Amino acid sequence: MPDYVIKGSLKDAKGQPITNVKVQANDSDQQWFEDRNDDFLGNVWVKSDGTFEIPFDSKQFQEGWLEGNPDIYLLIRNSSGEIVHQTEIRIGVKPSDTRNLTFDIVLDSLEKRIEPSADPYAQNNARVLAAFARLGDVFDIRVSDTERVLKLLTSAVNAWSLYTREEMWKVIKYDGPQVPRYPWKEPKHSHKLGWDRQ
Amino acid sequence: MTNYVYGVESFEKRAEKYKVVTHDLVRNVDACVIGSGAAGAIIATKLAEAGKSVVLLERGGYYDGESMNQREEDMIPLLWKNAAANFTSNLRLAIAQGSCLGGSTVINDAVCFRMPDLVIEQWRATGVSITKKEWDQANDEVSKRINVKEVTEDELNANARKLREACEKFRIDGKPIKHWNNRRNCGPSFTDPNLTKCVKCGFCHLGCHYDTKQSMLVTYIHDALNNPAANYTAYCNCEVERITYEDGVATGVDGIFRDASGNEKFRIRVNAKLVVVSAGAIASSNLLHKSKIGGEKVGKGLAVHPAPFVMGHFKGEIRGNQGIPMSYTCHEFGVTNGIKKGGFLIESIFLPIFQMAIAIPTFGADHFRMMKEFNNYTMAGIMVRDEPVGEVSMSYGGSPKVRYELSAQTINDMARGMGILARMWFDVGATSIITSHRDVPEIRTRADIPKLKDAVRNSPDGLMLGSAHPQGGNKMGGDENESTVDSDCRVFGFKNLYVCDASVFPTALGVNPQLTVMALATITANRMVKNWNSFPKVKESLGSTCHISQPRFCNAETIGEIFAVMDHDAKLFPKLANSAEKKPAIGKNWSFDSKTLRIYNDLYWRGFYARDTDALTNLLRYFGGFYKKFWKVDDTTHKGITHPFETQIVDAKSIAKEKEVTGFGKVIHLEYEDFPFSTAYDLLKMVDENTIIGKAFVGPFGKGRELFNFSMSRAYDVDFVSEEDLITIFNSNELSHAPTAREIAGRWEGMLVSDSAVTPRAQIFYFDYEDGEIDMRYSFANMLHGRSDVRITDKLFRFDDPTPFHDELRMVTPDLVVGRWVTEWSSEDALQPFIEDFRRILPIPFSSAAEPFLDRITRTLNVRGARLPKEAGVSFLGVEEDKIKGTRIGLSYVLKRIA
Repeated sequence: MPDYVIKGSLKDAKGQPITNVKVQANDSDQQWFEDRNDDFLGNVWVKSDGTFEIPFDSKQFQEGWLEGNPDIYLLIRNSSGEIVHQTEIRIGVKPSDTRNLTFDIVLDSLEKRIEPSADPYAQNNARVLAAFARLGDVFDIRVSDTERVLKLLTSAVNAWSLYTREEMWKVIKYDGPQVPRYPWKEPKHSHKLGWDRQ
Repeated sequence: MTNYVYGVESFEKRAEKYKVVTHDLVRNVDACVIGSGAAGAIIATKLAEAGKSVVLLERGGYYDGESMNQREEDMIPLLWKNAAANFTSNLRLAIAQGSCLGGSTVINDAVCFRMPDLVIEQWRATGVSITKKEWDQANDEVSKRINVKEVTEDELNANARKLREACEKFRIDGKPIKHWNNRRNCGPSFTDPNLTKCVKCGFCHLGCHYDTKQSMLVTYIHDALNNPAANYTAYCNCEVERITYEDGVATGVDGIFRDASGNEKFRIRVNAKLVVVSAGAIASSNLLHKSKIGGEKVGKGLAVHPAPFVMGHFKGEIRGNQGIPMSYTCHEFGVTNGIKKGGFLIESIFLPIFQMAIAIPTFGADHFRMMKEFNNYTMAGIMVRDEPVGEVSMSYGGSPKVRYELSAQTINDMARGMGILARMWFDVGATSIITSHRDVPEIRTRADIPKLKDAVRNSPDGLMLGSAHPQGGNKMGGDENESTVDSDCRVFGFKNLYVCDASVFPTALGVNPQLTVMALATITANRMVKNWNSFPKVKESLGSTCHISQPRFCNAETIGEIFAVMDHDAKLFPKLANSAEKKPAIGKNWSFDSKTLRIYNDLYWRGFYARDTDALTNLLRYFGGFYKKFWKVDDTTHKGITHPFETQIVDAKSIAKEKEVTGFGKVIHLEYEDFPFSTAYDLLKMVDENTIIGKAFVGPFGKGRELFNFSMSRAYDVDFVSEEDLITIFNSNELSHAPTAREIAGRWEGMLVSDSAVTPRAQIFYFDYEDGEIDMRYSFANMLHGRSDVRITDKLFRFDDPTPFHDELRMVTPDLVVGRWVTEWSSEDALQPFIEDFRRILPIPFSSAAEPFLDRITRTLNVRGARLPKEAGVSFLGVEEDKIKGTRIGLSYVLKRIA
């Protein structure tokens, strides 16, 4: 008889059983070890009715006197092996604690979750550096006029460092952008132009 | 999977259904369209509407109106090709192109000119068989769909009205000139029902925040994505590496999803009945070059519509940035007024502040003084119908390299145009003129206008030149010897490969080209649908994508994911054993198929690191390669060794047994026998009899810490050839031969071969064959250039350079050559004492292969020259041994034909 049995089910948002996913149970060691070298407790494919059972023994997670009971969490993998869901960690689960050994999970997608970026412009420095790397690949110094190239670079640096700044726009009296910098974060922003309002 | 936009960037919210690519993809579809601009978007949508399954590939990202925030510093890197650092190779001419879903139609000024009748006739004379009626019908269809309308009076801003006033006043020999309002593609916004026409914000170059500009993004692409009957997917951030083909049939494309820094994230393989290249002038030629399609004529005949500007300074404020930048045009001097050769249009334009700051050709205090008058300028550009004298070639790194020199006619047209426009601004009260010529940046009186014209004519290099209309390079026409594509836009010599965009224009158009590109795409799509039955069936292939059957193409994360869910096939365990032989025996334990370019090698299991490009993985790949060799003991046990190529005298002995391991299920446990290797272990899963995926751990069995994921194979492509494989091919008269001068003629890219991996391009060889002589040039790492003396014998193609090394080549196929850069043979021995010292310091087990040379160590007392024993060969530097000739050292490489 195994010491512990994790039981559970996987359903979609409509309550239909999810199959063809693999459930991996781990014992989290993060409270002891920073590097998260967690112990595997078991790994099963979900049955056709969406349920699963993972039996395991104490020896699979006990590192010594430090760990009396496992800190359990589950990873759900789709058929490609991608992790599509990770449950919360249940701390110090006892063999008799059937409530914490039961995981009923509802998933709205079997695709790998990627946390959205709040700022699509955040990578622009990387884009500009990559652009200059490509420019370096096509630039042919043998047919170039060094003085002209330096003037061009000076113009670009000057324009970028001065005229992308709002303080300079005020000096020039440039009325500039008519929408917020992150428009989707202010869904009620006006689509009326400043000069039309005047 | 279908009717989504995919990309590698993740966003909080997007107007279209959007998903993030999380792994490599393989798609089998009817049509693969490369490029989502004026041509690609239309062809893709029309084919989808005709019931065909379509994949659209776009190099740029997907950004909707809400993410277009009218700020140059944010939008130019996001929407413009190469973050606007897109120049000719001499940095003389900046070329503006879009690089985002919707292409240049997202960042252009929405100007729509119909193709002039004169140009239709000129093209027909060059062999383009498209009638005026077909052009008209296509123009009508497109114009309706993107809502092309004439600019209304209230849409002319102060800058445009000033140009109109100047045109009205202007006389030549007392006669008035021709000028009128532009037509533009603006209309109702699909995201804001309150907006039914252009908002007139003036930020067309930075994408339309309001979705009123009827770009491809909000028309054809939006329609296809939201058509429930369509089978249509758009993949963004995807750069197409090559088109694949066999015997005149395009079989599909290989693409790479790249992050903002240009690093590879994932790969895609699209197998298609029909492949359409619509990447835009320059990029389309580059893709044909990279795919070795079309020969020497590809890339030639590029025109750009170079466009210098002239600004007028006025006492009162103009506020040219407020309102539509391009709404009015003077046609008197251009093709639209019947000018057959050259000529120019004078078009109203105004630049946002950053672009204006780059355009003004002065520095320091002068520049600031001029910028302070930003609100008091009028501006227009001289868009010249230039001659197609430019050329797109491929840079060392594979990027498109544009060469373009202004012709005498173009220089003269620019001088005339700038002179005329300066006069116009003075006519309507300008106090001074700002020009785009560095030597004459400002003129204050009409009397100085000839000085400006002289400066342009005598010193055209002083002009700040921009272009937004690259055209040509893959000329359309009736003659296969002169043109790349026929009048259907089909590439000559191919059944199902098309190029359709401005790159097929035989001459410059003379007007803003977007509507003509769209009309051409409409005609081409109609012809494709009509000829659909002539296209061949889809031939399925995985290309070089990550798949369980070819894990050598996977990144580390994906190998781990596959390992987590894949079951080890226990039936295959008895087949783990390798050939007992120690040397390759062709047909016995080793073979090479010159048709598929695949190697079968049962000497051992070749180890492959993941394809990740981080520094550590690269280091391991080239300098830490390994193989594993197994011998069967009984049905449950194999004995084996793990052998790092780099330290060729080290064998890590191991025992392989199948076991159940918690978390991984049934696996092969590889237990190392001797210290220090016994502190580690491997878990392996056999995919098929030639493929294994594995994980390496350090620590006690079952509780070890994961080190890395890897794969192993006995069958692999020539792109993974090892030094031993290469020498086997090189030395076999059945597999390779000494090429003749005619056979080798052409351009070749070379990749160095280490013990364990093949590098990216390291050199280019040029073999120019003329009048029975061959001229050999090399470019190594794009830094070391030179020529070599060629000697051809029955057995060898050899060429010498100034070093003690020389090159020897053997041809495998017409497009594949194996080569060695080696010293002369010598019988001297050396360096064995150093190995002995090493062995004393670090007592590690030696392979049996090392014993013979260890014996020799005791006999070797002197170091005589830089000869190395074979076992001391390092990653790229191999040592070859021959019983009669002695030893020699050298590098090995593979050459692939570029042209």
